[in-house]
Amino acid sequence: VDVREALGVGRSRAARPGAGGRVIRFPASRRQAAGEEPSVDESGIQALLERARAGDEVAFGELFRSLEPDVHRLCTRLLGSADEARDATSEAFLRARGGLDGYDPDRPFRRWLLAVAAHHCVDRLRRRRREERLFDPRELDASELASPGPSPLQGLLRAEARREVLTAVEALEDRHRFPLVLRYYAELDYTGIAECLGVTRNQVATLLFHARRRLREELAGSAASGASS
Amino acid sequence: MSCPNEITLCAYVDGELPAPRVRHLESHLVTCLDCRGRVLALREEAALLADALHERAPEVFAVAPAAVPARGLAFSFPLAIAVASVVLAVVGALAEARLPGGLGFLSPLRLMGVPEMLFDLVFLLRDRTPGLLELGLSVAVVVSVSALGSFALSAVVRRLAGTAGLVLALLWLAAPRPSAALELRSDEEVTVPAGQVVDQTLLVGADVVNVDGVVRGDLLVAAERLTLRGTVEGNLFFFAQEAEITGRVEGVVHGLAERLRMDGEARGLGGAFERLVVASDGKLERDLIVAAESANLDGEVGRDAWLFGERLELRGRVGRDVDARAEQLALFDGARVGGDLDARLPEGEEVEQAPGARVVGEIRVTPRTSLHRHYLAHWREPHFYAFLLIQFAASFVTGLLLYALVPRLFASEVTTARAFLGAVGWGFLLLVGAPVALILVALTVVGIPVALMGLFVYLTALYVADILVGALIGRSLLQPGPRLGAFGRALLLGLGIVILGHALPFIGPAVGVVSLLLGLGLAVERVRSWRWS
Repeated sequence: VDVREALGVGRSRAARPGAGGRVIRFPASRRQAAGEEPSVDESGIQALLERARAGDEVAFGELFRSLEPDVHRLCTRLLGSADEARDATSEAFLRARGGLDGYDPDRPFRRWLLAVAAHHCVDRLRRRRREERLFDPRELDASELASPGPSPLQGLLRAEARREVLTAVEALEDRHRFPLVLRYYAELDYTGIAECLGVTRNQVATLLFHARRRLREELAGSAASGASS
Repeated sequence: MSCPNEITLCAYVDGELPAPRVRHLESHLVTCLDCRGRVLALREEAALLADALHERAPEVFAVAPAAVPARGLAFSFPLAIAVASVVLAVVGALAEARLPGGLGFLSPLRLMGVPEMLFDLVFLLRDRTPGLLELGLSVAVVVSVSALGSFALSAVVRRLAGTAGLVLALLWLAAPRPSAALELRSDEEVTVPAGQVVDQTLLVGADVVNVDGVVRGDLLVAAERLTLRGTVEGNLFFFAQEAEITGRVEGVVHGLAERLRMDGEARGLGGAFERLVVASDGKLERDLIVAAESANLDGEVGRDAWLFGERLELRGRVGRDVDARAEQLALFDGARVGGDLDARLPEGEEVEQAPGARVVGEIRVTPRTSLHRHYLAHWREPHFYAFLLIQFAASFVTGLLLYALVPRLFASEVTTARAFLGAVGWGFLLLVGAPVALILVALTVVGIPVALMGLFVYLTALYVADILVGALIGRSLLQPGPRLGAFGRALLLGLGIVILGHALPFIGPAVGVVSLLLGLGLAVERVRSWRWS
């Protein structure tokens, strides 16, 4: 338990406020830091949900307004094009309204909604690509796993660095970008990601591994070219 | 135990490792400094990723496209330039050739009859189907004004100002206007009788317009026949089949007409006419700048006269220099030029000068140079390069500014030869159609301001066309990301290619035509794809 606390590792982000010396900021504080209007809090969302499930269109509209920026951003990150993301966002909300009965009120609504939207984006991608095995990771060979590879990204906390990381993420292939965005933006767990992408949990771990490596290579490459020019 | 691999550590950091393996791993971490370091690094990476993905991407660049495949351009552009070269060569040869009488109409320099036909067509439409013309015009005007307005408004609001900008813009639109400064009149025949004074700018659209009274502001007229016997204290702008000015214009006269007879006085005169007569009583205090099929200058010009035309006859007095480009130039008895006479005439042609005609300064006759020698001459003059550089810099800055304001404008993609042809087709339609539409709009009373605005938009589009093409070429070659810097590099390259292309000898004009058509086509495509969301 000491180790875990010292390393700040836990089951979920919300479960470790202030753990260890380095504190990871919560998504809410990040959003506020980015200068956005704070969205309705979870209790407010639950109240709206009650009404929306009873068929209150106004309540659903409120929900839409408060969560639309989050969903739209997810779709933009996943699909790359702002136009397509706009369509995907409204369709994801339609889908969510149709599937409200399947929502478990004990879990955070935002995460459920993001999962629905992520599913929808994956469907869109499949329609676009018409390939069956979109997210099947290639077999890991032992040497690749053993090779040190570029070291994890550290110390890049300036705003420009975040932009750079974002640009690099956008440049990744779909099969690398999707798991990363689902994990670190939508905050789905491996099971959720696995369901979404139609792969196994172990494959999710492998996909994430590849994606992070590709991302580091990408950033190392752009840093090198930036330094040389 | 040996150290766990990165996948395991990652899963641990993500809180996704099953409980028994967590215990196992943690007992390892207690003893292994390396692995503790790796876990910390992975955790920091995860936090950075989450941070970056929650970052609000600058909206401005999120909608801009990243890359364009170069195939469509690579084939189509040279082909189009070749075609345009051939067309221009034929047109140029026709312009230079002295065609036998029967084939004279083929020469692009001979406009005889075209303005007449245009006027006839417009007035025929007005006479026979007044409702149709008016209906079409009002629909077109409303649509284009509202489209332009919303486009500008939404671009400004989105990019620059947010809600405050929208409120300001609406306030500006809603603010009361000094409506008294403008008077509109429309009828079959509009007359300002002698003794009547119009205190403001007067806009008139009618078949016949007679002004015998006084207009204190400017006078703007679109008419079949305009007669001005009174006084205009401002400027006179007119578009007419036939115009006669015997009164006084204290400002400058700008006109587009089939025939203009100038018997009165004005500060200056500019415009294009099929036949222009400045009668012996006509007097221009300052300059005369006109293009006319035939021009008779019997009256007086206070300063310089610039004349472009086919046959120019001079019987009156010009205070300073005369600069004329024509097929024939004749000076009759009584003609007097206070300064020099510069004439560009076809090779072998001389100025016809009567014994009583007097030129105080020199008479210089320059044979009109062949178009081809003309192109090459550019390259020997330093100011040509300076001009290229200025043009390049101005286009580049404008392009960057446009990208920052309306990145969507640059989102065109031309991936196939078909798309290329389509864009060029639309560009041609806009290039030719817009002036015709503007003239039609100018014929209605409300149309004159709208036509002036439309003219401004049209000229802007002509300017922006090259920038759009430059950006397209640059993007297809460099495949830049959406950032301003990357776009800037692509624009720099693309504009460089386009502007150098314009300057090339022989094929330069063809490059210009193709680039203009393509650019206008891209603009049309962008406007058509604008979503009214």
